[in-house]
Amino acid sequence: MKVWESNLACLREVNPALAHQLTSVPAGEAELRPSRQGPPTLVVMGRHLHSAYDPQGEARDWAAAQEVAPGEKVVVFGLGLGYHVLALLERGADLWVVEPSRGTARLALEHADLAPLLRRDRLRVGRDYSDLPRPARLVAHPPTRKLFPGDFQRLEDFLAGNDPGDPGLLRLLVVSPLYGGSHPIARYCTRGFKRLGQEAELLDFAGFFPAYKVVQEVSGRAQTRHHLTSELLRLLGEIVLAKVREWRPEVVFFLAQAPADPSLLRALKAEGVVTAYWFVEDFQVFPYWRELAPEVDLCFTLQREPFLEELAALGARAAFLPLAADPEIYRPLSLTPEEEARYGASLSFVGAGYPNRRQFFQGLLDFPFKIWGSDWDHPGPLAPLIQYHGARVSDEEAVKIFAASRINLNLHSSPWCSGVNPEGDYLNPRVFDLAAAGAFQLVDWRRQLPEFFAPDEEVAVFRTLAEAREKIAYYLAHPQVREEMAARARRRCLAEHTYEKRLARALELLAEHLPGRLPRRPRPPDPRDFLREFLPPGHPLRDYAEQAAPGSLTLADLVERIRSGSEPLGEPETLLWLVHEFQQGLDRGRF
Amino acid sequence: MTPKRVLVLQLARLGDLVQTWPLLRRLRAGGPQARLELVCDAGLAALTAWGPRLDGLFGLEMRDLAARAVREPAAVGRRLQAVLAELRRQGYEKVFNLNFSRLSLLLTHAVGAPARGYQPLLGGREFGRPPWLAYVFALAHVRRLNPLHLSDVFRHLAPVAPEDPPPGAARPSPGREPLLALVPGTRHPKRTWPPAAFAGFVRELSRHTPVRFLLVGTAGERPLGEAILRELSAPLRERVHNLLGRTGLGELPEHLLEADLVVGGDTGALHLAAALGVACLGLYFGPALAAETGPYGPGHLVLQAEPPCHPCREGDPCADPFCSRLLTPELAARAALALLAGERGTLPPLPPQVRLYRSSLDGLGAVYLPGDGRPPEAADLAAAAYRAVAGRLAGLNGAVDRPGEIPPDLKATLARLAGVVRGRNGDLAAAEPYLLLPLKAFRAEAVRQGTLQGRRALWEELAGRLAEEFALLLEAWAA
Repeated sequence: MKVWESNLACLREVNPALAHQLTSVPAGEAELRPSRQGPPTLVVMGRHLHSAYDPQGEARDWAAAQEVAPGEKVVVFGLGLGYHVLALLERGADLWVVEPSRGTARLALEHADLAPLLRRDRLRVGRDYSDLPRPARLVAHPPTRKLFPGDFQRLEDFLAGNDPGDPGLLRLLVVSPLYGGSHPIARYCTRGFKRLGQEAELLDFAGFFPAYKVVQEVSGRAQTRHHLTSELLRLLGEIVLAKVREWRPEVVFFLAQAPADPSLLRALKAEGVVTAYWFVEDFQVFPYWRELAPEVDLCFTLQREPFLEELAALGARAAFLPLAADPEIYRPLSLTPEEEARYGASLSFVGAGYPNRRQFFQGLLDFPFKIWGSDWDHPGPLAPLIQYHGARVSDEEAVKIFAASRINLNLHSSPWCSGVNPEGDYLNPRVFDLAAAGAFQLVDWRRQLPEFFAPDEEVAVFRTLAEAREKIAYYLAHPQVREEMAARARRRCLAEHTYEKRLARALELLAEHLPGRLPRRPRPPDPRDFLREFLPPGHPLRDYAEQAAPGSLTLADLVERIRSGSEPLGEPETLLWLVHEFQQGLDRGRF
Repeated sequence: MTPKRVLVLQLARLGDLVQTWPLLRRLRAGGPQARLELVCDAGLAALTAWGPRLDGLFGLEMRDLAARAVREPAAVGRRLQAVLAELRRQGYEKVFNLNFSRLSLLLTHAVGAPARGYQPLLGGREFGRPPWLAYVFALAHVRRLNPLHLSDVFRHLAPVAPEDPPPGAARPSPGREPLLALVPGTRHPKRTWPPAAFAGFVRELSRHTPVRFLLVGTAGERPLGEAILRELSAPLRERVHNLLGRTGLGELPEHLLEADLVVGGDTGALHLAAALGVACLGLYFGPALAAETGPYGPGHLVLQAEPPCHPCREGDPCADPFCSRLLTPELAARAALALLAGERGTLPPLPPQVRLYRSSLDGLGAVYLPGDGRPPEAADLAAAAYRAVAGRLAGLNGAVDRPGEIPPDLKATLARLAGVVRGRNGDLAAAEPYLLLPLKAFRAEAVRQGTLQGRRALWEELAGRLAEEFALLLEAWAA
């Protein structure tokens, strides 16, 4: 890997932060292939980044076609493997390169001598290009531009000196499942969209879970149960449709296992809404996506290949969207001594009793270990460790457990293999929840992990039982190290892995994959401007509103406050309420 | 006596505004020197010149404000602030709030003068109703039994005054070819007679007598007009002048006044025609109920479809709105002929579930009398009793005529009902599932309003008194 070492050395001198970033990035999901002429080309998401025949020749032709004057300041969008960049440098351009994908940047550094570029600190990766000269001429590496149209647009706006401005607001209906792990995620998503300043509402079907259980228990016959369940699901679909028809969202955002069947998805399509489905499960464990994915406008997945390929083969549109954490729920807590005693342990695990966990944990019986969560019936030797007789633990309690435990063990579930799944790719919600909570985490190795958290720097990692045991002992003996790692993980999580950040990406992906399908509504003015104009300073309503987070308060909230008050309405309150009534439109209400 | 400075708030549609004119007439009659002012939708301001004389008019641009309120709340707020300042400057002694809407309640509260109609309570937050409106509200629980016209509901909010009666249906001018104005559109599909039926009406009527037709309505209703014309043969089309969307609101009264007869559903233009004294034939079905909103004034006719589900509510879904088909073009043509001939006798024979009403006036206001000579049912008598009680509440004893000949079996029913009211024959709600429901509803509303207004005892006593009067009437008729 000589090229890699020398590139890295170059980079470290001028931009150590970027060098560090690139070392911890695993190679992107891209395939290196030799070209006919020899030098390699790159295939990303099925697209060739360079000619499969003669990448260098292609690059020279392209560089010539740009007609760049010597000394001209140019920003190139897309590094690829660097051929075209080097060709342009040969022509004397004074250039910078913005490469949207860290994975691709890493591959380039591994295979091409990019010293001329790196020596002058001219490589930027991702969105980190705020120091680029403006205005500057922007040229695109065409395959990269096709792969990342949104990023290109953003760079173009930036270089032109345009503010991205406010694209306006979307109305999203988030649909939850009846129960299960993705149910809280539906709530976090709703909150996340709102924090992004969008209009979001949750259609929470948890209330139907008891009904669903009745249906499952009422008949001993599978056929009858199936029929009744279908009827129930049909009703739930009608509820979604009714809500959509009245509320008119632009997007219906389903979480995994929400009641969606192909006929509902088609009906929603007929209503003109965009449907998205976040499949937050292992696609191999839950195969129902085969039926649904082709009918959904955009599927979000936790896994990349081969899942994305399989989805593409079905004709479904899909994009990678990993999980995140809600920092409002998962946060460091200080506990009372009683809570410390109840929830605290040297080693804790919160989660369901999948077979691999049951098997693995038997190797940890000698540690002071508490196991929380459901589906731990017939625990065998684990029995003394199971808390609350295997009752489900709420989010609020989970946060307390995290805070009270010295080491939080996170072993990804697998119904098939025992212990650590060597093929494991995606990250479960706990990885993020623990990080956000500032809780020290020991997690099994997953292929995606290094993309999100630095192994053994932010989260501790194990691949085998032996390694787990060793690390448990080590970290129990080094509380200072634990604290520092947990703090780093929390910083990282808050900076990059909150639902707000994740859903912002989801919205970008929607815009990229479905161009023109999401007309934005103009954002309503901040009601506080209204209040400042019509209410004198010191007015209780004005004070109340000033304290609220920007974008979180609507006129309806203020009217509710007025309505529940007891002081006679003065002119300002009356005006506010009148404007609110006009906002509701004139069709409502009887005259 | 009308106070010296009065404001009337009527922010709803054309039909509601026109049906407010009898109140304005009464207020005018009660205080010829008083300053009588009106707030209405700016789009309807042009019409007010055709109604009772006003000393001031505030047109509020409702549609525009609603359209701008989301994106420009501050601008809308400023406009409303200016309107309120202007209204407060007038120094009104009384405000008549006629709309059951939050908007008008807030405006009423902001103007600050004592209110009639819907009164702001609890610092402007709650709707207070006076006994008159509470009674109307109670009657509305069983619309089938509602004997009060909207115009009279408004009118009796004002103190009794010697106002002129409303114009009645003008007799057609003899010797010239009749001109009929057809109003094909209403605000809701459930009230709208199908274009094919209108076309059939044109055809059927033209078979009997040469007639010319005007189609009047808004630009949005043009497709209805086109659909009607499409169904007509070329010669008939010549006789139909399509004015839909061609005239502004200001010219509508002139066109209506040209006509000898206006035919349409329960819609604003029909009410306007009646208010102008043009003879009207109303085609009522679905949610439309002649007793509530028939053409106001004597001499009009209303054909009303009355299957068991009538009257329904606009918002209720309906799998098969067959009721509009019960009013056939032939039936409507015969009714139109009867009106044009100015006779009262030769009304067409009616199929079951259809009734033909003739509008008239009694001491309380508009009544709609079935012209079919069918004997009354229990519901008709109950409605009459409710109307008589309304008369008492409005301070008009004996204003309501006693019903005519009552068959013995119905007398027995009336006696039994009276017994139930007096608590003798069982629970109020159990008997005749709905005939006595308004009394129960009034009692509930009385408790509510009494609590809101801090006069619980007074309201409860009133509820008892009304029930007693109702029972007395029934007993008198049963004797």
